Amino acid sequence: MKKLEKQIIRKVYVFETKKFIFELFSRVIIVAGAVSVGLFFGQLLFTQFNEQQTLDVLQILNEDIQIIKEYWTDVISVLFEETPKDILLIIILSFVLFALAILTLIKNFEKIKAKFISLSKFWWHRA
Amino acid sequence: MEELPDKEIVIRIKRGEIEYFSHIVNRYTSIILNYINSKLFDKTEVDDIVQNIFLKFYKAIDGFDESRPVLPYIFEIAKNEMKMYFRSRKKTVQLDERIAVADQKDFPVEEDNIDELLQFVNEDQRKALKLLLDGYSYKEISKEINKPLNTIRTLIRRARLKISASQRMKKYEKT
Repeated sequence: MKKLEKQIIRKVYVFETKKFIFELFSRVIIVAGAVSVGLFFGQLLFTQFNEQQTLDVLQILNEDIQIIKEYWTDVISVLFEETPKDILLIIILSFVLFALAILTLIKNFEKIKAKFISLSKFWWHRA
Repeated sequence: MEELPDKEIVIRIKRGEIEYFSHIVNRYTSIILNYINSKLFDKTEVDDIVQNIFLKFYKAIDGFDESRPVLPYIFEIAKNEMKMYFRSRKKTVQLDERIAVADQKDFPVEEDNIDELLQFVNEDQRKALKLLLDGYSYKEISKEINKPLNTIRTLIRRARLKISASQRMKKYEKT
């Protein structure tokens, strides 16, 4: 009877350990993937802006506040028009993915921590 | 370890404190074990089934409503597990073999009568029928003749129809 109970507990821990490791790896891969894709396309966008001299419109920020108030919508529309939409979409998507992964991590942090402690206790005692 | 009600244990497990699952296991293993023992003649698989039942309960615990009692839920899993166990143990006969057996029943042929009957069918049908009468399955016949399984089925069905038609004709001529 005791042996059977131990076997059940062990089976549950083996299952949970595999699941935990899989989730951890998948989360790391999602975050790393989103960051690297975001950085790559961000760099691409920045280079393109430099080539097009689009960022020159931001020089308005050095002007008087009244001028900024008057022209900020124009600046934004120029920026939007000159931005390559596909690259922008990829950057937004990778940012959303990154934010979702981080938010779920924060939301489940206590649970993940408790699981990690339980799993490490179990395997530590067995070692 | 402290004595906790099931509800509290489930809440803690949901929070990630897996060690509390041992309370559930300690509480209900004997009951489930007795239940499975009463249902099974083959005692070698009892332990595996009980382990699977508890593992399934653990997997389902995130969606489990902690206000519900635990034991009936585990029993429900146990019943399903038993159903699956009995289903997996059911003896099955491959479809092709069943067709072959049925064909041989519907197609009673005496050994000395075979060649006479086979003259009514074409070459391919004859080959397929001969192999079928030799005890080959449809799959084996399809490999042997190098034709798709469905073609073999069609060949044999048509051959049977031709032969039974010719037999009927013979009977009619005699009368």
